[in-house]
Amino acid sequence: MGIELWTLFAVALTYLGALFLIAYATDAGWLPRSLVDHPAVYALSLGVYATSWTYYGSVGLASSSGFAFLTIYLGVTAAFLLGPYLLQPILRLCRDYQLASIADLLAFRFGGRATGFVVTIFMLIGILPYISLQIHAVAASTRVLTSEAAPAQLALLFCVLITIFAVLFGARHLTPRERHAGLVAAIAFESAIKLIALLVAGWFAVNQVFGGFDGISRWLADNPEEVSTLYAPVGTPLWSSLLLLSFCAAFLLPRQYHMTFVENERPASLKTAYWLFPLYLLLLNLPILPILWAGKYLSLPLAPDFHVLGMLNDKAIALLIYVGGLSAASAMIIVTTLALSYMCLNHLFLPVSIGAIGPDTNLYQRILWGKRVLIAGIIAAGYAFYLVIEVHEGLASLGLISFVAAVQLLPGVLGLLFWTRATQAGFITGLLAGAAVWFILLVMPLLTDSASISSVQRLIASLGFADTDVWSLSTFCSLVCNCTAFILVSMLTRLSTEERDAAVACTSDSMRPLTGLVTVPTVAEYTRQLASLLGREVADQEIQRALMVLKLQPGELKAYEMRLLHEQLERNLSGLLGPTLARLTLRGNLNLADQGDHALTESLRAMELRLETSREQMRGVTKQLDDMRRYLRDVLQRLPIGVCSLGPGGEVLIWNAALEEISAIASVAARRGSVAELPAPWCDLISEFLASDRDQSLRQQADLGDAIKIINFHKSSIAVAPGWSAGGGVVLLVEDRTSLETLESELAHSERLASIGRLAAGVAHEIGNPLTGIASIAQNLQYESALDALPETSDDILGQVERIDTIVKSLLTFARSGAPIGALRERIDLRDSLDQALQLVRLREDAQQIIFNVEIDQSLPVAADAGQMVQIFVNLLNNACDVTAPGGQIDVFGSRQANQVQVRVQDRGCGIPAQQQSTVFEPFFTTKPVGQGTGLGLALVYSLVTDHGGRITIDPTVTSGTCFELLLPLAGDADGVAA
Amino acid sequence: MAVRHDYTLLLLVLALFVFHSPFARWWASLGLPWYTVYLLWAAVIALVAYNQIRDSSAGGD
Repeated sequence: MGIELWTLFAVALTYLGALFLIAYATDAGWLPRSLVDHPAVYALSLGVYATSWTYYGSVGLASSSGFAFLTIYLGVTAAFLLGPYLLQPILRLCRDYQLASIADLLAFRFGGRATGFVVTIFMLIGILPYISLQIHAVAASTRVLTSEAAPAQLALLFCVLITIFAVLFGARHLTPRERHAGLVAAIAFESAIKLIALLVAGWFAVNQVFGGFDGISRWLADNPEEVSTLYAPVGTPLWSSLLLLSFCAAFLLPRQYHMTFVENERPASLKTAYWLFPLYLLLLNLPILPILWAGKYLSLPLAPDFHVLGMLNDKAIALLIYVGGLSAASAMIIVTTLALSYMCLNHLFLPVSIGAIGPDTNLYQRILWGKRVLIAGIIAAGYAFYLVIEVHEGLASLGLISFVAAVQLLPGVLGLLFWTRATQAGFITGLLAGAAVWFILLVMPLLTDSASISSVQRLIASLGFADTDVWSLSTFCSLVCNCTAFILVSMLTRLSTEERDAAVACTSDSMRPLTGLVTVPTVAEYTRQLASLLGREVADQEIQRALMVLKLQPGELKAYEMRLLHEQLERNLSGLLGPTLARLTLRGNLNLADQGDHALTESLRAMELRLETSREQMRGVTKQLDDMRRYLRDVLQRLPIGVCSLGPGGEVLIWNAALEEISAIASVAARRGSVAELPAPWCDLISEFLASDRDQSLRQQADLGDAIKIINFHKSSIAVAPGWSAGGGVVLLVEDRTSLETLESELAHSERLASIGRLAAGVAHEIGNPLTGIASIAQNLQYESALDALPETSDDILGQVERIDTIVKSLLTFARSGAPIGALRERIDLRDSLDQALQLVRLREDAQQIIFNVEIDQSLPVAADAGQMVQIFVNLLNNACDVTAPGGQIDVFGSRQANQVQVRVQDRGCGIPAQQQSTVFEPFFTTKPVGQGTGLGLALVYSLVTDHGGRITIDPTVTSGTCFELLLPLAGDADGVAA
Repeated sequence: MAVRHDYTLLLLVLALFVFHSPFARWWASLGLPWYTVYLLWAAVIALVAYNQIRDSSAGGD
């Protein structure tokens, strides 16, 4: 067209200046935040995918391969369609663990320096053809428009400009992990320019070349083969291969990984990009065919790649199209060199130079300058590659070579996301195998004068694969070799512990378990040690940054807070040095103690704190699991029974609210140490119980100074949790029975009073009889004057009075409001208790006509509370009387059975149905009519018997009436007074 | 969430059916207008957008 070179140079400089201004304005906050953070800006920034290949090369690819050129974008659509399964997990890993490049991601999972090194070298070699493609496109497009300059010099000029720009633009920040809002905005702007320029070119082709859509339709009608040849590749191996290649390129190419994951400010933006980015690609491809046909219509003497420039006759539009091409090339080179410079720095240079860092070294500055040098070096290497190779087959060939290189990472990334068994050895072997095939089939032909991609194609055809294109063959062969080696070697090798941890983190939403303890006691000491490794400035800033993220105050930190600080530092340094180097630097020099006494405790506490601080970042399943964790924690906290969980070393992990109330020890204080550090009496009570082999300890008295509490303890072992290096522990249930004991005593007393009430009529009658006797005797005394009859009379009176006294004493014994149940025990003869109970029950009016068949051994010694024994038998006999008709019989048998005393009380009433026999001892259960029974009698009997270590059951073999069988331990010789 | 993922996979199957199956060879051999591929592609994008927007408005993540 004859545009002057200086005009293009000025336009290019102006455009790059505008880009820099946009980036600067964004970083400086001049642009509204709502615009910068808008999902559309993020989706547009992903348009870095569309390079010179799309801009110029798509027309060439459409010319040679028809609709196959669209597969380069249909594959991306499929990758973004699968975003929830594919992109979201990678984004989560990238954000959680500060993984700044695809090499970081793979090195994180397949730990060790070798992974990062191999991936970086391979990506560097694999992407060089792609960079050279951009240089070639810019140089060629300049030559098309100026028709005079030597391409190599133009290319060099472009490289110098873009290097200056990339260094100023991409390496302005001190720390690489920071997101570059300015970069995202500038790349989005470049994407918009590309789209506008191509749409204008399409409009020009349709309206200016063909005179409208009718013109195209007419031309296509005259040349029907133009459309039919477009459809020819659909469904062919080339179609499939390109779909797969572009699917992988969408997230595996370094620049795509960088823009999609590293520069993502808000995860929600990625979801919008699922459809907005493919829509952008669709719009970008709409003008490709009209441009191709316009070139053919005009019979341009140019390669189809540059039809877009050749068809133009308007200088302004030509400059716009040229700027669009410049956008495509510059955006790709800037982001790619930025991403590759991170990879090279973290995996090639820092590992060998970090040992030379002293306390006074400024690592930030060193990294910054290293990155700048690397950017310049990578662009220089791209330029060298451009000089070495000759492009015979069009721009798309160079891009596809890089795509086949990127696809070699697919097995590793799929293994990372879905296969926990994958090992580092498997990954590296597979990658090397695939890379070897890739190099032999696609790169070597480019580097030799005598061969090219076409010659490989001819070689393939001569081998009998005439219908197979070189891209399909190379993709298939390299992937088969890669996958086979990956799977086989992974199966034959073992996962390291770190790989296993990383695999868990990669395949689930859970965070990596925190194991071990930091042995450095204070933040100051930690900072000093870190300064010796990374320099004073970096150490200070990184520690401050980590403390700020964790919302911790510098100074004395607890062990678990130190552990969290260490973990946060590892993440932050991963963004600075890469995951491998960060891990090696911190773990190798700070010496984590894996099996500390409090490792589990501190890990749990650290995990708790980490979950609390990262709550707002949680989404999806993680958030649901955290909700469930909080719910279960609240359940534990609010349980009305005391819960205490102990670690394997006796350290207190859980001390819930009920236990706080029972023990009057705050949870924070209790969880500060182990059981041995609890205040009295809890230290001794819990320690003794833990030392015993019993699962429960009942009625323990805890003297709290101002009160005595009756406590039941229960315990259960906790199994070792999978994934924890430390052992399990013990969970304790602490039951405060003090109020229950008081209530039971009151109930017992009430029941006694109720019984007295029932006995009152009989008592009155029984006392009335002797009183009548006494009254008669007294009347006789008035008439009997003979002094010799007085002693006899007096004896009669005394006998009657003694009878009254016995009754009254029995009543008083029974009604006595005694000590708590089982508190007063002494050696007694159960026969006496039975006699007293029988005497009391016989006072009932209806008992007068009941026959009591009593067969009791002479001596039945038990260690018991006499009053409570009487109450037991009174209740049982009262129940028996209630169901016995007048003239009926009640049997009472008492005998020794081995080391027990057995008492059987049997009536011949209606009996208790079998289905109710298991509930008769429950409180408030009664078969009597309303108002005639409280339902507490048998419950009290059961409680009293079990409190005395005995057992009471209903004999199921007795079918006529009910037989209560009571067993109590026989008192030994040593049983005296017991408490 | 599970419902959304089911639709995602369904959409993937649909996209594969349209663009990478014997059905693709069939429609490619019908002599359709040149913009048919773009229309099919736009339809897939529209379904993905509908699925995503519906899911977002339903509070999914």
